[in-house]
Amino acid sequence: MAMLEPKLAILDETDSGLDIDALRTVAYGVNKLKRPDNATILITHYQRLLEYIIPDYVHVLYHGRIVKTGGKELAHELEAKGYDWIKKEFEDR
Amino acid sequence: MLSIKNLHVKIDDKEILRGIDLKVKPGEVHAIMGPNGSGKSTLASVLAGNEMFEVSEGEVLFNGHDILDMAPEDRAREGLFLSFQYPVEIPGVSMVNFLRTSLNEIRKYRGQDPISASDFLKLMREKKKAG
Repeated sequence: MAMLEPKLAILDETDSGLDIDALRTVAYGVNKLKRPDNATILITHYQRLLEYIIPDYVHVLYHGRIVKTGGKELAHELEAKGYDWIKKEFEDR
Repeated sequence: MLSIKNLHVKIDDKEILRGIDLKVKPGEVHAIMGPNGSGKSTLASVLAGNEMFEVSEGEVLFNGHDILDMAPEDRAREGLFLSFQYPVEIPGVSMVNFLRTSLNEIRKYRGQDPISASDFLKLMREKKKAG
């Protein structure tokens, strides 16, 4: 990523299978490459990665739709409550 | 920078994305979360241009270009990058050669001369130091 300097980087569950140290290394690299003229989309299951890479927006995808959008506090809420409340709220749509 | 409007995506007639709207501006970091099977990886694959998926509705603009009709390599040349969850290694192709080829394809697209192997290694060392 550092070599190719993309305008938009999509990181698809880069954090799965990484231990804490590797996660920190990846997060450090991503933060370092952040510039006013590029953007990043992080796809992740867990809030853990977002402790290190602070997102401007958090979107919750469920059944093929973005059902909720918030700031980084939404990720904390998901970590605490899981996805069940989202599933309940949106299951009939 | 990126504008997704009402994106619907199918695979084998099963609708996986059912109307995604998302706008990403320069300088922003967006996180997409969701339970297994919600469509997160499908969204990433469709943006990168994986042909397994059929876009049935909607549009995706990247820097003002409609990228849905573009080949994956042209999207990459425009500056789109996707990291894989489980990257595969191509036997006989080293990481350095792989990266240099990628970079030179992007340089060619921008009308720049290809970078030599030694200059590439130098650049890699500099980036590593800066990181």
